[in-house]
Amino acid sequence: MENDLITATRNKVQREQQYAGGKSFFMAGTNLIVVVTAVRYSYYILLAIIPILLLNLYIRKHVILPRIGYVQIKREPAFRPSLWYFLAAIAIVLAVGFVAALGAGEMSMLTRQVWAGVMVSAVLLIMLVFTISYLPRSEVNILISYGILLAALVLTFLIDMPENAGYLIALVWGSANIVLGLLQFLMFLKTHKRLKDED
Amino acid sequence: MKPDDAKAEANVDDIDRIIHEPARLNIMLYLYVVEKGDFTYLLHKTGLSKGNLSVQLQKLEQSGYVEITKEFVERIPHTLASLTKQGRRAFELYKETLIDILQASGS
Repeated sequence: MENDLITATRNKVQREQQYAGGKSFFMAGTNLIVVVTAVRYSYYILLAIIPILLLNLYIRKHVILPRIGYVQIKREPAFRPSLWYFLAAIAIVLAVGFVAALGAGEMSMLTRQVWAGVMVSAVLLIMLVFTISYLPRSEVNILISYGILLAALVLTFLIDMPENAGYLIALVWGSANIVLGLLQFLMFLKTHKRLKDED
Repeated sequence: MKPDDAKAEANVDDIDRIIHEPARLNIMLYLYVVEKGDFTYLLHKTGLSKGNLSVQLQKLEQSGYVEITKEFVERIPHTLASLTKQGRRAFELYKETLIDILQASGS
């Protein structure tokens, strides 16, 4: 394994740049909760994203965090997308749509078809992004988060489940992200000392 | 002298002394895994003092291994360092040379 040190260093740098301070987890968690709650109850809840973004701007402007430096990550493919990914994505969505159609009660056929179309488009869009852009390996985790969000939305809308399990899954996943983000932030402050003349 | 020893001895002479110095090796490694990195990034990663880092970067720049540019990122001036093509090739060659030596000395 001649490239162990280089690979380990590359992964460490990418991870640190991406997750330092827990910001990406925190933002992913809050966005997930806001979006699924808005979709479930009222789209006005989407306005809650505005104070979150303002808080982010305030922190960036007024709170001096330890600097880890600016880096342009070397773009490398997380994996090479192929036709099989597209086919697999379409098959999964069709399968979910089929199950939803079997179990559908109150929702009209047209609504179900529209939502199935939206889901297919969303998955295809994600696959398109995969194809045209090279992502660092660590960004795959974020895509998994979006995949779960998508699955939660499918469950929320298409399957009439007791206690609305899809919404609960998204809520738990979002909360877990927020907790993880906060823990990472605390660890970041503990492990990264500010340089003497940084402020 | 065994043939392997002779090979190892010859390779030791081939080691790039510019890269072989630990501080510069560290800088090369941390620049190799990114496109570009600023002074603060290298400062944190290498653990060198500002003066030492500056001197080592100058040496690498004079050797043609590192390119230093000044850019504004979000209105903040950044001194960005990146490996040149020659620098990347030199680092890969250095790695191969070291592996050759270790394999020869281990056999």
